[in-house]
Amino acid sequence: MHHISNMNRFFCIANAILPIFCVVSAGMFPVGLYYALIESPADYQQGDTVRIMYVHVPAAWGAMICYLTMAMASAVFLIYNQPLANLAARAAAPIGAGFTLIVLVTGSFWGQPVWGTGWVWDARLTSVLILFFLYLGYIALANAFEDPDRGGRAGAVLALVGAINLPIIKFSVDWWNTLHQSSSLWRIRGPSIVPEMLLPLLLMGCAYFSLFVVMMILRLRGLYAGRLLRQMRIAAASR
Amino acid sequence: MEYFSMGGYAAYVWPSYGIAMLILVGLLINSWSITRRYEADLICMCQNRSDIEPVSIDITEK
Amino acid sequence: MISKNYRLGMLIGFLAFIGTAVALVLIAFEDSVVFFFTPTELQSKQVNPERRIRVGGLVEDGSTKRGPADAEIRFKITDGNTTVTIRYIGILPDLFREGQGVVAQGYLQNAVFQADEVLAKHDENYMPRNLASAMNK
Repeated sequence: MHHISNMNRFFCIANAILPIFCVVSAGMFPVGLYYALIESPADYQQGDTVRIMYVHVPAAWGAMICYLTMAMASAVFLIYNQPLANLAARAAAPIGAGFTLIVLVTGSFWGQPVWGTGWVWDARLTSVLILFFLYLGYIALANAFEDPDRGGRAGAVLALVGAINLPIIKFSVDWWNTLHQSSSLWRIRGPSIVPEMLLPLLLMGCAYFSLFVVMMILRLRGLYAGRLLRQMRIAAASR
Repeated sequence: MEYFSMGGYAAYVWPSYGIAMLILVGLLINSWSITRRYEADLICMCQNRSDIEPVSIDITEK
Repeated sequence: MISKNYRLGMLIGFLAFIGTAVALVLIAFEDSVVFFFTPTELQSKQVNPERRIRVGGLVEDGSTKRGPADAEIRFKITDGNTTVTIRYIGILPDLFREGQGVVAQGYLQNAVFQADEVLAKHDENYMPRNLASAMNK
């Protein structure tokens, strides 16, 4: 329990920034949705289906950031045995799974009219499906042990091995022929997307990200309280 | 009314937004309920025990 | 107690090993990882005519011809160097256009690619219609 003072300092800061991100998230979603659904123009090729991009792409960013968080927390837990890192990885996994599910479902709704199919086994789509299974695998593995530290370590190894999937997702559209188009934003020659369509994309990105921070803090608090409860019950039982 | 037809793609655009928002709201409610349940249990347990340092319930203060 | 530096080193070594293994597998199975071949690759690869494959490229301007059968369509796709003629019977996706990318699935028969599925591939450019028409003027 010697980590308790560190934990309290962490949660002091987390609780201080929580309202800020709540307000940003609550403000960004209506504004982002307004620009995504009303203010932005239809695409010259895809028509109004392009609006699916504004919920699809930020979810993909979120899913990647979430995995990065989970993988880094896992590395810190394995190397430094920091209990907060174990909780952070556990908190990130369900959020990432949810984000990835959004990516897969909205992508299917986008592909159906535009490509002519809702699913193909190209490198991008397959690697994102693997990301979804990595999240589910982490959740299953981390909770498969009676001792949360052992479960956390087993999950952390999976999370780190699966981190190899991140560059594969990102660069799959550049390394191989895929049905999925390549990135419009992260290009050497600048974004190939007009400002009035980029704006709702970035607004929705901010909205997703601030919601991610809110959910991370809430989950960390819950998991930490659960961990304290567990320790108290064990202490009470052994008395 | 023409707006809602989304240029003929209403059957793809609206479900996408609906499902995305549903999953996000579900995640948020789930995150919130985990916090509420465990923190409430923790406060109950700490109130029944005088030997526990109140430091451990600091996290419940908003 | 194992030291932190040792654990860090072990972890980096382990991940480097896994990363190399994955990279080697992906390079070795490149033909399976790619979603389609370009017309040039199709020509140089000598693929088994029995094998169903996908070929992708840009639909050549003015190459689309309908008929003679119902819903039969012939068009040429190109990767800049090589073109291949595609014959397809069925409904094309909304985004099928001359000058746009497509991916056709089927098999090569007498230098004509008999497709049973045609998917549209869209590029990474996003702009409103008025801007697109202004740029083409």
